[in-house]
Amino acid sequence: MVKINNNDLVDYVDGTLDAARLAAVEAHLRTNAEDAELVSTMKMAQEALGEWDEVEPVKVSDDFWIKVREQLPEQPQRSWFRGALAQLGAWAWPAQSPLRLSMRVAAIAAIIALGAIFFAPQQDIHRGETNQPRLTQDEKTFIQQSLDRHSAYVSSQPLSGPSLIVPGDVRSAEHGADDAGHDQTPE
Amino acid sequence: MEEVLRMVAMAYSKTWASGQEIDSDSYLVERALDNDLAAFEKLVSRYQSKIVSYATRMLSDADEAEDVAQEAFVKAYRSLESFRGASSFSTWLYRIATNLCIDRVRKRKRSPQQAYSLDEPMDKEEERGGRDVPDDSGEPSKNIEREELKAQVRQTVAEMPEKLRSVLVMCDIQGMSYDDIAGILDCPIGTVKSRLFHARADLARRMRPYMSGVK
Repeated sequence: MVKINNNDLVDYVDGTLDAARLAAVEAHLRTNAEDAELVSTMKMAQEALGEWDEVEPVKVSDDFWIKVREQLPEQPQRSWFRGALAQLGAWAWPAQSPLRLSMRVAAIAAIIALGAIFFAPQQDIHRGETNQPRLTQDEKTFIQQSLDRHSAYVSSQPLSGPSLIVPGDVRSAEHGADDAGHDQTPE
Repeated sequence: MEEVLRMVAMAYSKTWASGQEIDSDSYLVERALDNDLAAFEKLVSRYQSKIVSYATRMLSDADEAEDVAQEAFVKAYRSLESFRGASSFSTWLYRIATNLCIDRVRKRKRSPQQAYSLDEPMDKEEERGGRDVPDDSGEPSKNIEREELKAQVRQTVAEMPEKLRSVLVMCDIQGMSYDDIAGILDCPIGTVKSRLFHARADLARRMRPYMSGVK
């Protein structure tokens, strides 16, 4: 059974319930006379409140603005930063100028150009290096040592192993699979 | 950083304002900050009726309500710089007006009760000549009951705690959405609905005796 709370009744009176919730509230009100009466009275109260402004309209005095203006300070308080920004804006972008569109396009183009200059990968012409992070001395040493070890290993190995199939070498193509393990160094 | 971005955005909106934007609240606020009094006058004329009406229902006193409304606009002008733009200008203005109304009501409660002169008319409305409400039912007794009911509604609203009253006035008289009210009162929508329920239930309880005759 769906539990109905006070907020549901408020939504029901305001007509803001979705279909499922509306059905649940209506079912609840059919079985609960007390809540049904409450909702009915709430609706009536709401109606009376809604008519209040029509029946008893509030009039604003004609000199309302004059009275407000008399109490206003010379100028609203504004921080120097905001003021400076506004001045800058007014100086840079003449208000209501017919050149507004072209200035906007020029500004966007300038921003894109600056972005391209500052953020595009740059190449050092003299050294052939990019602006990628450079290796530290330790990293360079490690790489050099790894290469040396690899070279030493390769040179220590005997020149024997599976045969290589050289394109155009018919003998290798015909016997490659059977001759596996034999020394068939291409001539 | 966020503050800078916001200012740049506002400066940008001011710079490129055109058509409808020129008439928007945020644009007028920016113009007012640049000492354009005409822009602020436009904002005042746009919201004066709503704020005066709201204050009148909150304070049940037309003269005091107009004072409060004027004060709200002056206060808004003085602190335009602090208007964040996160909420709408009207939400911000209503928030100022709500706080001023609550202050007034609290002051009233603290001050000793007014003494009434026996020579003065009981009801100021009567002195002004009252209002002519059209008699469309042709049943005098029913009309009287209806008038009693309306009077009861007004009295109940006037006697409600400020928190309940403000929600009721904003929702049922000014027709604002739950979202707007939650923004003005700076509270969750659930709180708005809860207050609304209690305010309406209180009103309904007092209206019950008049129900049978008016239905």
